[in-house]
Amino acid sequence: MLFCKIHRYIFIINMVKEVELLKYKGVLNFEQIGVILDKVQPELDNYSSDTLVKKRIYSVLVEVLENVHNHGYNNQEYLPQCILTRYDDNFVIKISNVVLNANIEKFKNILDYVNSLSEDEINKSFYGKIKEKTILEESEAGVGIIQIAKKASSKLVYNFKTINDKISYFTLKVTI
Amino acid sequence: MENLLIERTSVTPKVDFNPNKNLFEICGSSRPEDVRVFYGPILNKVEAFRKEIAYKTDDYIDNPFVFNFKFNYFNSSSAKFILDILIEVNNFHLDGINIQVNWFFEEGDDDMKEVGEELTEMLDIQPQYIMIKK
Repeated sequence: MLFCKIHRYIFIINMVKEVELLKYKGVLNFEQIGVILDKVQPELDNYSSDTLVKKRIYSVLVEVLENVHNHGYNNQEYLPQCILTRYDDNFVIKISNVVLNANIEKFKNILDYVNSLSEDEINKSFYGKIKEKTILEESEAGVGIIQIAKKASSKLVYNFKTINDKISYFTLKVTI
Repeated sequence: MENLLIERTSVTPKVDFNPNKNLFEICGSSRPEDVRVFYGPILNKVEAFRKEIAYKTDDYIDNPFVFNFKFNYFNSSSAKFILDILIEVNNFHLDGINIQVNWFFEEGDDDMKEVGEELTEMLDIQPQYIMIKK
């Protein structure tokens, strides 16, 4: 009996600690990204008073949403999804979208490269890319991922789930 | 040269380029749908103005041309173009025009201060980093 009460108490505490601030599933175009960001801003103000944390969350959200918009593959059956959750003092952004299998190797290389870097190396890599004389449009995705890693408090977590021989569902989890 | 005034939107900063007041100010958030379309004309205008005044550097000895960067946010695509503006700003100095560069950041926003320090590293003059109190 006592165990049940304690268990329930812990469960309630856990419930309180986890708050979903954003859940969106649908088409992601430039206008829709703006709508999502407008909605999330007051939520961030409610759940954090830390300017730096709020700006980092906003920055990561912009980069992940723009990455999906610019580099994702449109599929009406498997729509992009973005969830922002607060766990204690951490915020987790989880974004999923369809990608072409042909691009998986390229995405993995970027993500694994970024995950292999230390904090200092991420900074150097980001500013190195920005300071290159020209940035090809195709490598802008790389700059965006480095920016995301720069703002994250831990390594980026990702996976690709095969849908068929042409497409897969990509999920990226970023903790701030 | 005519002024350039671009009003602020939710995705683009306000740009106030006012040669009569010796002022270039960019202020707000930057995540344009097409960074090249937004920043290209601004860069061209600033460069054209520099070339126009390059032979009258004396006019700026007592009144420097002031460049204010007051971003509260910019995305990674914008960063490259902000750096391009700063490179052009440095050309004013290299041409002998007296300039002042101010990089503003909100109190507590250490990332905006850091990115300002990194992007202005190539300047041949010392910029001012100014904190805006909450």
